[in-house]
Amino acid sequence: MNEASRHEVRQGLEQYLARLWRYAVVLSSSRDAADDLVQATCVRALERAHQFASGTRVDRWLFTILRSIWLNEIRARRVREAGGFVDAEDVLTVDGAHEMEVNIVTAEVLRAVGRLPEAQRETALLVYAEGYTYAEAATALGVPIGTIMSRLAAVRAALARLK
Amino acid sequence: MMPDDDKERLAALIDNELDEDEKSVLLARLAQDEALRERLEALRQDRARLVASFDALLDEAPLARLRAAIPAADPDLPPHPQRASIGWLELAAGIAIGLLLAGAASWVGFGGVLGPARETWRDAVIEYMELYTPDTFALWNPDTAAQVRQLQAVSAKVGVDLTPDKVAVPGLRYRTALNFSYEGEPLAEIAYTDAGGAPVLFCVIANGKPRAPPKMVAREGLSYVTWSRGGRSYMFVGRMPEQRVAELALPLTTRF
Repeated sequence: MNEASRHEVRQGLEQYLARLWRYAVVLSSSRDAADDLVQATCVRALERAHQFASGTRVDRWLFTILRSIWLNEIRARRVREAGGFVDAEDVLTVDGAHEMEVNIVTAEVLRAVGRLPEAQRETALLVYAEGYTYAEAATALGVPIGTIMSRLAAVRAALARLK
Repeated sequence: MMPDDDKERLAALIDNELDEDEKSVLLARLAQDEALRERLEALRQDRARLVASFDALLDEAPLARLRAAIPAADPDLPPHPQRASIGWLELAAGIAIGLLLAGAASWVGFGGVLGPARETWRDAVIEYMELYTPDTFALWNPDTAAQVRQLQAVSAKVGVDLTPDKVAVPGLRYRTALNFSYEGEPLAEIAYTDAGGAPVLFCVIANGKPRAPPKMVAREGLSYVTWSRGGRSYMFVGRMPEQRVAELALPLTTRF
């Protein structure tokens, strides 16, 4: 067992918990599912810590695990159970009661993001919030760069309609 | 109506996805085409709003509950290395003391997750700053009359008297002054370049914050000084060592 990798993975989980949760809530459109998804990611990442290449980006590695669990387990289960998905528009909100900086613009933008298809939400998050290049996003999502660009164009169009 | 390929190129410029040749062509067009520049700024503002909104979600994460869900460490593992502390260097006696302490400041936050309370307009400016290169302002060379007009336009928005003399910084070349808005608050950005062409920004936002003395912050290769006075907050930022930024900012911190 590579102890250095285990340390990095554990540290990464603690450091990137909020970002993992944000990715989970953007993917799943559900705060409950996001909690489950992050929890499953923590367990899986520690189980597979020996596979993590020490010195590489642990945040990206954790995101890959989270996405895999979402696609192969949690989303599939939710579809099987016919629970469907709630409208992300209602989930991607922030609680302004205790967060004075949050304002109407933020709420409007998040509602607009919530109305986007999952693939567009995910692409926007990875490129704009997580700093993936188009090529990195294409690799992470398994699609051509052109698809990343067309998804981002759709996101931009949705934001432009807010004006 | 803007052709779609222009919109895509502008977006790719903002996302730092153009190759050098494409970037040069587009920057040359931007220098000549005010409508294209306005469209670029609109796209940048949309992008900044989206990033700020995604970042607001980070504050919603139920961290205590999530931390509790991390399986306990194996007992045979050695203790975790101590995480670097997160802090701001307060310049208790102004910039001069900051110069003595330069090098001590660091902000090793992780996208604001673990950092101090976010000051999001600064994050938005820094977000833009990441996109600037020595090419960005290379073709912007306003004469004094144009500088006066630009500064009058931003002064009217932020309510601070800005003139070529008042914003002059020895060692820096004035390039332009732009009006932005951050979450409804007027934000002026005055862009300079240093002798090597590196962009440096002086920003003013009319946000009504209480008076605060200058602080020096170093963050991911950028250094900035920030202060508030008269209901305005100011930031002077460059991708250069803290000491250099502190020296350059000194005339502005005394005038504003």
